[in-house]
Amino acid sequence: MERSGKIEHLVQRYGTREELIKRGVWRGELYRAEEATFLDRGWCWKTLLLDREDELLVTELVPVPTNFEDTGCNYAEAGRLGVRKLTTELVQDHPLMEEDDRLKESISVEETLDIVRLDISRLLLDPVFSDPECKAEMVQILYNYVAHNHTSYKQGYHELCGAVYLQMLEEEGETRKLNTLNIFNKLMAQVRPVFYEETALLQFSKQKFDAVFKLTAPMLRHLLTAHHGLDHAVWLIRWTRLLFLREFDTAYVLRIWDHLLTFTVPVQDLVACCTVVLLIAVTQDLYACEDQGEVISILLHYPQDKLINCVDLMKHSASLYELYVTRQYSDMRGLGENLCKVYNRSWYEKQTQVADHNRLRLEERLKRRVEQRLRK
Amino acid sequence: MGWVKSPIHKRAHQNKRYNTATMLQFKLVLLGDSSVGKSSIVHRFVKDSFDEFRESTIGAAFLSQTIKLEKHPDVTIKFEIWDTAGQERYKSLAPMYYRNANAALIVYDVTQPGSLVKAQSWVEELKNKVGDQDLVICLAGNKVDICDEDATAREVQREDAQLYAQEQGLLFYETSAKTGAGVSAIFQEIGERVYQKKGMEVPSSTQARKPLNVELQRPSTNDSTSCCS
Repeated sequence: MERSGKIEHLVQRYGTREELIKRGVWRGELYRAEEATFLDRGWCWKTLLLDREDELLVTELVPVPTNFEDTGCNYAEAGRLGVRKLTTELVQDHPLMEEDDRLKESISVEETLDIVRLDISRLLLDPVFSDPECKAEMVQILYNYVAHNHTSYKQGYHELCGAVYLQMLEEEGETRKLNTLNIFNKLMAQVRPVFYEETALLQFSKQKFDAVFKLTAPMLRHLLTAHHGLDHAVWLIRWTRLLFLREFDTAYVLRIWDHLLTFTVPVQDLVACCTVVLLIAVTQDLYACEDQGEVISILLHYPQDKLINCVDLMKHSASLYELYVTRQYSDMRGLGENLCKVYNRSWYEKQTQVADHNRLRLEERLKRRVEQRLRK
Repeated sequence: MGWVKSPIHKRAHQNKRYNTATMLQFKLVLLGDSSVGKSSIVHRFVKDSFDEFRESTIGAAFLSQTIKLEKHPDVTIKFEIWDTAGQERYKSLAPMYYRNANAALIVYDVTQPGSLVKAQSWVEELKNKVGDQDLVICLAGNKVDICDEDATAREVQREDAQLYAQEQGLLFYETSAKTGAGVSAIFQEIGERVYQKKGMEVPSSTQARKPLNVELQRPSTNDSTSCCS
């Protein structure tokens, strides 16, 4: 179908941005089988995020510099010596003790561009990124993002930006870059301060995520943290920094992103709640784990056959958030229990009937091992 | 600390005698600059495969692989491998990954001198924060296949890195994740060293089933973690 036809259909169907958010995304009308052919995610994201021109980061992109003589940095010398400085030298004092880490980063433009180019060359999100023109556009977008925000580049930005870029592919050259940059910038306004600043990320893990997890699924949390001695941060880093891009297939993740980009719920809260629901959905698998290594294997290679319907995932996550912000903590636990029952039904019923739970765990472990052997 | 899980002396025969088959589990962490080939080394070891293009590691990846020690065929070692991102600038997240590690594989790229400098800073950090008495550290110069094809591509001389490794008491190897050269040897050697280092701590057969590491112990029979949420 022609793009204009899709857009016309979407405009007629939803009329306003609010309707697109309410019915299209959160009620999941966009994803219904009969509507799937009309889904133009690029248009949806532009409608969600680029409606007000005064909120745009830039309306004109600056070119990527090629001359570093005047930057005041001494990296040109390092370049002549053939020394590649991809990451800065080790610092003696913990830089986060006094101030935010971004303030201490003094990485040069040239170094930044080296890292960005290296990361773009390793971006495997879509074959389109092997095209030199796409690579150059991505470098320019990320350069503009870093320059306009007076921040430094971090690995992971390239992948998030790449996911946005893919939705803008049908736009014309300059518009494609501008729209990608402005959408990426709005997303990063909520993502970067929490997930890319190290202290903030650890705080998110220890406070926000752990609090929601503890209130919703206290026994599962106990299993992971007390029994297996697991620090959430070790696996949460990838989940949060890439907003699930490496955890699930792209189509599924982009639906999650549709919800995140409505900003109906603050991104960090929605990510925390979403993660808790996803953990509850694999309760049975987690209980079958023998040690920390097995738990980590599940968390960093999430069983795709256990993925729940994405619209349901986001509805449950939003409900959890509502209960959390309104301090209805006992209801959070009730919701957690109910979700556990729904998504681990046979196991849940069994574990309520048997007295010896360790025996049940052993059975699950054996069952899992047999399944793993059969898969090999 | 460092002994990730208790050795399990498996009952191999149902006769009167137990053999000494031992299963050990070691935690190994890979550290080093961006794009030196850490993930490629792990994939060569675990999956015996190589991809010319591999996406940047974000945070860390986790893989495991089991090997038998060539010098001690009755000893099986399961490596739990944390493959970390090269661009953790201030390394405040890195301790989460090397905490309780039995071994660290610090990788540099033989065609990039800057990456050896970064590797050396990792060695210092580990020695300061963990202490090498608890940790087997191995320095690995990767991408030697590039030098095999074009000798002028080499920027770090083997002798220089080897001398540094000797001075610091590190294991040293040159590897190619692409061809596989040196990769399995590294893990064999690390396995041997950790086994030797910890061998004296292996409890007698009467104690063998008692977990040593409280963080990673197996579920006890009176564990209260038995409900779903």
